[in-house]
Amino acid sequence: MFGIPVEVLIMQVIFGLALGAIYVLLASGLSIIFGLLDVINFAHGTFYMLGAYAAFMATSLSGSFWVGVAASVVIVMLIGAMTEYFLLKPLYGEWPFYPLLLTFGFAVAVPDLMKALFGLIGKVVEYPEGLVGAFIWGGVLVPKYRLFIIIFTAVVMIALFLFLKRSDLGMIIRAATRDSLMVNVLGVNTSRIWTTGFALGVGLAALGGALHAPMVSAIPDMGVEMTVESFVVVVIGGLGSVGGAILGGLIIGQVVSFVSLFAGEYSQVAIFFAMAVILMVRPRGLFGEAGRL
Amino acid sequence: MLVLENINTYYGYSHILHDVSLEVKEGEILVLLGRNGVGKSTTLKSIMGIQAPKTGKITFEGSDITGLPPFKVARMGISLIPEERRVIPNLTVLENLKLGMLIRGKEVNREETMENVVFKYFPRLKERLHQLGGSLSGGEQQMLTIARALVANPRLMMIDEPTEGLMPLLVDEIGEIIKKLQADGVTILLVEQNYRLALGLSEKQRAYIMEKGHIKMSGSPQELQERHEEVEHYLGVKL
Repeated sequence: MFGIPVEVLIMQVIFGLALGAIYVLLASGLSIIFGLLDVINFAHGTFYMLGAYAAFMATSLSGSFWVGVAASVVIVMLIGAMTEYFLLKPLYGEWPFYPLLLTFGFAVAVPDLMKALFGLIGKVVEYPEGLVGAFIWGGVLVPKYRLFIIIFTAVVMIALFLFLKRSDLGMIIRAATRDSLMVNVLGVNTSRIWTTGFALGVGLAALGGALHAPMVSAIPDMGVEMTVESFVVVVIGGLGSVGGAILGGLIIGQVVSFVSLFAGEYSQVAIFFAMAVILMVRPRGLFGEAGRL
Repeated sequence: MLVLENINTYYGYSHILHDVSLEVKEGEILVLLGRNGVGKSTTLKSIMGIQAPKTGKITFEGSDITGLPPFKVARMGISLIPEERRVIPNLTVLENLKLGMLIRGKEVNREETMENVVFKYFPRLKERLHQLGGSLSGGEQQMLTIARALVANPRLMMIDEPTEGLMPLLVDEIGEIIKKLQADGVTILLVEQNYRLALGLSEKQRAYIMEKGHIKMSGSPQELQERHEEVEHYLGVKL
C-alpha cells in the first residue's frame, strides 16, 4: 500500500494497539467516573501523570518495575479516594459546575507542584528486564514492551468486565450509575461507592501512566494532552460506556499511529477529525446511552 | 412502631408538610389518602430520609431516625417502594433482587430466598430472571420492586401508589399481594388513589386523610364510611 511494505504496516498496527491500550485504560476510568458521579474529571490526565511519577519513585526505590507499577496504582487510588472524599464530596448538590471547576483547578495546580518538586526535566523509567528491544516474527519487527502493554491491558479489561458483571460491588457500581438514590434506599452507602468508583477510575489512569512511563518518561505536563485525548475517546465511545471506551481507544490508537506514519504533524488534528466524522454518523458515540456499562 | 411527631418538610422554600403527626402500629395496614400533591409521597420520603424534615421527630421501634440517610433507615428495617417504581433498568431481574438482598449481608441464603420468598409471591418473575429490568412491562416492574423490597426482610414496607397505571386485573393482584404481606407479618404504610382497593384490604387497617400538607382525619374504614361526606370533601370523589 502506497509502496509501504506490509511488514511496516503491521508494525504500525502494533504501535497503534499499544498506544490505543493506554487510551483504553484512561478512557475506561474516565467513563466509570462520569457514569457514576456525573463528574467530568478534567484532572484525569493529572492522575495519569501522577501514576507515571509514582511508578518512577517506586521503581527507583524498590528496583523492580513490577513493584513500581503496582505501587503506583495503589498510591494514586489513595490520592483519588482522598480527593473525592475531601474535595469533591462537599460540592455535590451545589452548582453542577463546581466539581468540574475543582478537577480543572487540580489539573492546573498539581502539575505545577510536580514541577516544583521534581523539576521540568523528565524522569526516565527503565524498561523492565526481558521486555527491552524487539523480536522478529514472520519478518515483522515486534517491540516486546509494546506487545506486553497490549496483552496486559487486554487482561486488565477482562478483569474489569468480570468485576463489573460478576461481583456484588461491580453490580452496585452499575446500578448506582443509573439510579444512585434507589440504590441508597435499598440500604447501600452510595457515598462510599462514589469514593470507590473515583478511586477505581483514577487507578486505571495511573496504570496507564505507569505503563506508558518507560516509553515517554514522566514529565509534569504529560497529562494535559492525555486528558483531552481521553475525552475524545470517551465521546467517540459514548459517555459512560466502558465498552465504548475500549473501542474508542483502539480506534484513536490506530488513527494516531497511521497518520504519524504519513504526516506526523497532523496526528493531533486527525484525532478530532475522527471524532467529528464518528459523531456525524452517531451523535451519541458508538455505544451511546443504550450500551451504558 | 413508627411515630411521626409534628414534622415539617420543605422543598427549597416551599413548605410541603405542616406539623404532620401519625402512627403506624405493628401488623396493620395504614393507608394515606388524599388528592394529588397533598404531601403523601413527601411523607414517605421524609420517613425514608430522602427529603429530611426540618423540624419534628420520627421514631421507629423506639429509635430516633429523623434525618438519617436513606441507607441507614433501610438498615433499620424500613423499605420504600417509590411511585416511579425505579427498577434498575440496566440490571437483570435477578440482579435487581440481589441488590435488595445485599442489606442482609452474609446471613441470607440467596437461592433459598429466591425460592421461598420471590417465587412464592411472584411466580411469574421466575421466567424473567435473566431479562433486563428495563425490558419488563409496567405490571412486572411493580412485582419486581415489591419483590426487591421484600427480600430485604423489612418490618415496615412503605408502598407508594402501587396500582398507578396498571390494568384492573393487575390492580386486584397487587391488592392480594398486600394482603398476603400483612398476613406474613409485614407492617404496611400504603399511599393509594384507588380508594375502593385501599380501604377494603383487611380487618386490621386504618387510614389518614391529608389535605395541603396537613393530616385532616383518621380512622378505620368503617369510621370513614360513617363520616363519608367529610371524606368525600377532602378526596373530591364519592367513596
